[in-house]
Amino acid sequence: MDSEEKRTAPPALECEALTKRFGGLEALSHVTLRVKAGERRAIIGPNGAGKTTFFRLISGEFPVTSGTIRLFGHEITRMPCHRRAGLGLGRTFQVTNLFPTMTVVDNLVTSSMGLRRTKFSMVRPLSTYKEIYGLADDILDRVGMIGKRSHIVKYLFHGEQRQIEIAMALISNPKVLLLDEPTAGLSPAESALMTATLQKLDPQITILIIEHDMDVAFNVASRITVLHQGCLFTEGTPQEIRNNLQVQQIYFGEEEKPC
Amino acid sequence: MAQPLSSKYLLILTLGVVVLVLVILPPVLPTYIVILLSQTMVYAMVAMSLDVLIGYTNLGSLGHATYFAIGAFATAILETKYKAGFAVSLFSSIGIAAGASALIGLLAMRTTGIYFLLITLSIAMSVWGLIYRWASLTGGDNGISDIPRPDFGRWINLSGHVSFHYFILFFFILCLVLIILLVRSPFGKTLVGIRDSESRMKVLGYNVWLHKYLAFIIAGAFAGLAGSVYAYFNRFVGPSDASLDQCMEFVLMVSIGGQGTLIGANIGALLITFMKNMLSVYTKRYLLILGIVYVLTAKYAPEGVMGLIKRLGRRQEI
Repeated sequence: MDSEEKRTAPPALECEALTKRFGGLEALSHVTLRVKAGERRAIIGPNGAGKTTFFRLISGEFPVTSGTIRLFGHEITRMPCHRRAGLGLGRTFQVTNLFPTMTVVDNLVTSSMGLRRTKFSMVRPLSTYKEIYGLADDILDRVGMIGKRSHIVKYLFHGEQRQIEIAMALISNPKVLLLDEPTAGLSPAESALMTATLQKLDPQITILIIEHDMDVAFNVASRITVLHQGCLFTEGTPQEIRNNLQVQQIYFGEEEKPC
Repeated sequence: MAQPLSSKYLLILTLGVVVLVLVILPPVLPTYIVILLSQTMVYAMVAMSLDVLIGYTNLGSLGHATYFAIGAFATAILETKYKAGFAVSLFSSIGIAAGASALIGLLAMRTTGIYFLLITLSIAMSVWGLIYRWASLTGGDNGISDIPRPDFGRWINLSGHVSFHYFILFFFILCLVLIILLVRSPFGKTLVGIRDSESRMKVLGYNVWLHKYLAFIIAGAFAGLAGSVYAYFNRFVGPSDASLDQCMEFVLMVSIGGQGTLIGANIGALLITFMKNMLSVYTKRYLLILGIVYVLTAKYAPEGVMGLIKRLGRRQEI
């Protein structure tokens, strides 16, 4: 480590030559990526480009085949999932992944306990922890779901479930947030609502967002990384990516003219 | 809003009947019924602890009778060979059962899903084999008999069925209260979270393995407590308490009653205990009937009796 590197703050997230192989299939190959603290980075790419695999490596759900991952300068390549969460890494899922049998507020309460010692308390009823419930209500208020607080999650509309998906990741104040297609399956109106929610997030939070909806990606992100067939294809500002002919070709197909 | 009201009435009515049968009536009930009720309560303790695993955590342990038997044998051995007395035997049995589940949990918890079922079952069968063959310690096929009832001096005589019924009732209520507290605690909620979505729990910062492991040990401790009480109640323990039949009976109790409800485990314990004893009067093949009941439950009422009750309640509302 030379002194110059120490003076500049380490990037929030740093991946070096990150590779994931499933048997003979290389789902991700040598992806190197640096995301500054507070940056909003979109990851785009056609289906099967390796975007979700990339997220799963960062969050620790899949073991890395080779390469390194650093979070604020700490190497986390082999760290178990839950300890990465403890370092401030949050994540949402492309396929809604909530606690379907619990109420909305209990979903958030359970989320907020992940990084608290309260989670091991075995005698005092959970319902008496007013502070945690207060926190959950605050977040629900922020995403406009307070009216549904006592509803069982599995009976909610898809759009509402997507909002809770975000709220659950936000409640433990992550420093780096991985959003895996937050607008998946949403109507254009709901999508716009979600974009507004995302734009309102604390600018301190570093966000990586996988998005198929270009409007969302271009609106939320300041930089865009394009993955294609497991490789890093290109990187740039939304404007650069929009005008990149090769990206248009792999993403929109050669025949179609993009908007 | 007819539903909460009617369910409240139902709850009060049920509670009334339970208090009547378990607390007020035993002195005038036939001895046979009192014994069956006592047995039901012992099995219900095990079933509730198993429900914490199956119903709340989605950990299908097929070998829960193991911890029950370990608790029972620990008490039997301590009481008959070492004359250890009630308190020492009881607490040691809980400790030994918890220790055994901590050890077995280390092995079993390396797997999930169907493999977890199989490994818990195979370990349970190994323990059964051990009890069966280690005759110098466990009495082998003959088991251990003449376990003395706890002695609390002159004023409390526990030799009668009715007085021992109340003794068991005390431990039953203790278990019930502690397990209800457990599932309502933050830790209990994390177990439900794990049942609903392990992957989500991990990214939220939960060490899912540790929570499952703790639940496994706690359930083992409760089963050990029930085993200890059972040894005093039955005054005989044998390898059949750790057998495959016994393992399956506990699983059956939880699933027939309705998993993840605790009340279901109690209903299941009641149904199975009475059915088993009543049926075995008429036929030797009661296991066949229990099997049919299980298949029918799995096919038509996967949420057990509690599921049926809930469905009925919903229909009334319409």
